[in-house]
Amino acid sequence: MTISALLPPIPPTGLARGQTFRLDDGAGRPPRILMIEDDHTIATMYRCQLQADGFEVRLATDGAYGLHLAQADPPDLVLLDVRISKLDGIEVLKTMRTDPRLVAPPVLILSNYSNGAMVREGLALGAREYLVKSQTTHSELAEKIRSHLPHPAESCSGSGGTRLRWRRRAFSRRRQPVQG
Amino acid sequence: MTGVLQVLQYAASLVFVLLGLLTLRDFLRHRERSRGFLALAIGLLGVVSLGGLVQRFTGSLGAPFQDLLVVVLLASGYALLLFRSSFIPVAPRTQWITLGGLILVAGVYIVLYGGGGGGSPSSLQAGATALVVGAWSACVAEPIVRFWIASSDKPAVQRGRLRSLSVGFGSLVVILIFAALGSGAPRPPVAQLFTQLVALLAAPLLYLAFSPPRWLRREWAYPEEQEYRDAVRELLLFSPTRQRVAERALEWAIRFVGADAGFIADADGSVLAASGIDESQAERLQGQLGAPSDDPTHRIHDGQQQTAVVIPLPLSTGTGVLAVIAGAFTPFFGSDEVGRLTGYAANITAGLDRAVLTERIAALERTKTEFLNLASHELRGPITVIRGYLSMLDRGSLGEIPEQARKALPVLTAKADEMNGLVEQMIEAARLEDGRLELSTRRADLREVVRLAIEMAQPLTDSTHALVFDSPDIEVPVMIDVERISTVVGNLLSNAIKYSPAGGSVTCSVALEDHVGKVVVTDQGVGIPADRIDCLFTRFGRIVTPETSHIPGTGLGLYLSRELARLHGGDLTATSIQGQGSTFTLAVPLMEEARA
Repeated sequence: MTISALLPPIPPTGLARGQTFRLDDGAGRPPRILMIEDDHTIATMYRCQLQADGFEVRLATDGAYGLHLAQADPPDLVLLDVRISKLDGIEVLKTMRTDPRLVAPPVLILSNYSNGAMVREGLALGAREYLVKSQTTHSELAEKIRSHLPHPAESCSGSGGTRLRWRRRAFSRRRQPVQG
Repeated sequence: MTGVLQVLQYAASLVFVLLGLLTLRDFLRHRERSRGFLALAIGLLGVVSLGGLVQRFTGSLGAPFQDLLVVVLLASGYALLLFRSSFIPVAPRTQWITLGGLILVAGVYIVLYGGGGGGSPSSLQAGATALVVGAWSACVAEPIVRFWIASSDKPAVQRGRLRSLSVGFGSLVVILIFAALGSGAPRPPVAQLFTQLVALLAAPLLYLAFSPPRWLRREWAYPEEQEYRDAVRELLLFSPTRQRVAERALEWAIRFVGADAGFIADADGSVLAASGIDESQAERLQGQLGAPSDDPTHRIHDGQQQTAVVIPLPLSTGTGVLAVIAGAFTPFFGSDEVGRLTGYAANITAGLDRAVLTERIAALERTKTEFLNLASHELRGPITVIRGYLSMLDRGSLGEIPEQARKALPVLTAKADEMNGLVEQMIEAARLEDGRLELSTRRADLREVVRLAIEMAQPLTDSTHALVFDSPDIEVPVMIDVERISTVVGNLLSNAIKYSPAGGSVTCSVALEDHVGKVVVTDQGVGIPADRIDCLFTRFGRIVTPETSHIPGTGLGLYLSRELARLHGGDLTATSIQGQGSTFTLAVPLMEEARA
């Protein structure tokens, strides 16, 4: 895919009209996020967004590589897609739960598939949130990440008013979907 | 009294002779081995009766004739046992032992009674008579009991026949035992009268068992008629697949005529359903039948000779076959059975053809839902990217953009949001259709839900619109999926605004009624023609008029809204006056505590 090549260069973090936030753990290091996502365009877009928000982002385009990256250097938080090649997101999550070094980093599932069974399984395996990509705005995602980081920095409200949408699906462990 | 007795005696004998003749005639018409034994059993009784009559008219014909009648009587008992064996098999050894026993009894009788005509019988001779009666009764008693037990789970016509047979032979046993007991002494006339009357009744019963007339078969089957009609309805309307139609149809075709087995074959010769025989047997028989002919009654061979009624099924794909195979207790297939089966076959044909359409429609629906599901999920990806970059452009995260381009941003964002809304509607519709939609309900105050929805709808209005909110002072507690109900209310509000192009007020009021919490949205917009209101709530059921043709929409919104309301146990209804506005009423059940 060449779409990402057409995109403007990703600006350095912490820029632009005072709307982005610089977060660090006190030692000057930005929170490190591992994003496991096999759609390159989506991954690039998120990296761009998250870097603008002051996060350090590493990308893995398949499950196996994502797990390898996580094991080699455990991140502060993992953004995980479910339907990914080589190793399914759910399998990645299962493996992470059995690896003592990878129990700590919170996992947020970020997927465009949102059927009840998948959401339940993801949350049951210890994912902190199950977010639907198209229904999670830029600022909502940044907010969710901040709230789940091990040492949350000051909470900053995102911008952008809420518009009338057909439906906004964000599932959290506190409010699991109930079988209707 | 003696005169009456005499007449009765002759009548009884004649009736049995007639019975034998009729049985013989019916048997010759439809030759079948298993039925042959019953014909033999009943026919031989007729012969015994005829012999008795001849003896009475001509005086004693001598010992050999008497002995012959005894042998014939015993043979009739044995024939009944063979008939029972064709119906419920008896071990060959038992059959041989029985035959041996009967020959022995006949031998003993001939030796003891031989030449002993005239005068009153000696005690030895009385014993010999008792032995014959005993042997015959034993031969017959077992089938009588067996038939009665077997009758209980048979279809009406077979049940009727088995019971008549049991009662008929049972009466004969009673008569013979009675006669044997009294053979030493002259019997009182009342007893003789009783004997003759029973004999007179037994004969017709036996004939009914062998060959019940049409009116009686109908009478027997009458109680099953209603059940049958219901079954046909179910067959035609509610059988989802052709196989299911065939199975249900066959079960009734068999019951209908009291047959034992049958099958339904498709136009290509493959067996759709078989009952009483396995599919390979059905395929063999199907091969034997060849093309359906004018005469629906066929003789078929599969180990033994059987009669089958074969009715063609003129299916849309070619001619199929309904074949019903007679068993030992199937009445002979007459024009009545064939007529009924032909009528029934028309239903089967309609049912099978309808199932083809149903299957095709179901497959289309499935494909469509799958497509809707797949397409909408695939669309979520690009939408994520578009909205993601748009929000970055808007924030300036991607650097400064020219003022001209900046003006286009709100339009792009609004259109991307609209597209997102439509895709989410499609996903929700697909979810609803394959039953995957799960509500996550919690307790909420309906006023609060509606207030938030109104806030969200505010940006849609322009200066000509007025959004009015009216709610009671007390809480309206409901158990709802808050996100979805806000979506429904938001949808009603956005419709009210969209379809009021000339402006006006949109009133949204919350009310607490007996068992429901209500949200009523009223506008002063274009309204809906009265005859089109129901069409609003169907899938993709948009009402396009010159005034509304420019308003975008999928036609899914109201369909989903009503379905969601109904999933909550509530409803969504509409009233409207064209040109003056519409009123939509959403009702959701109140929490239990609030109803008290």
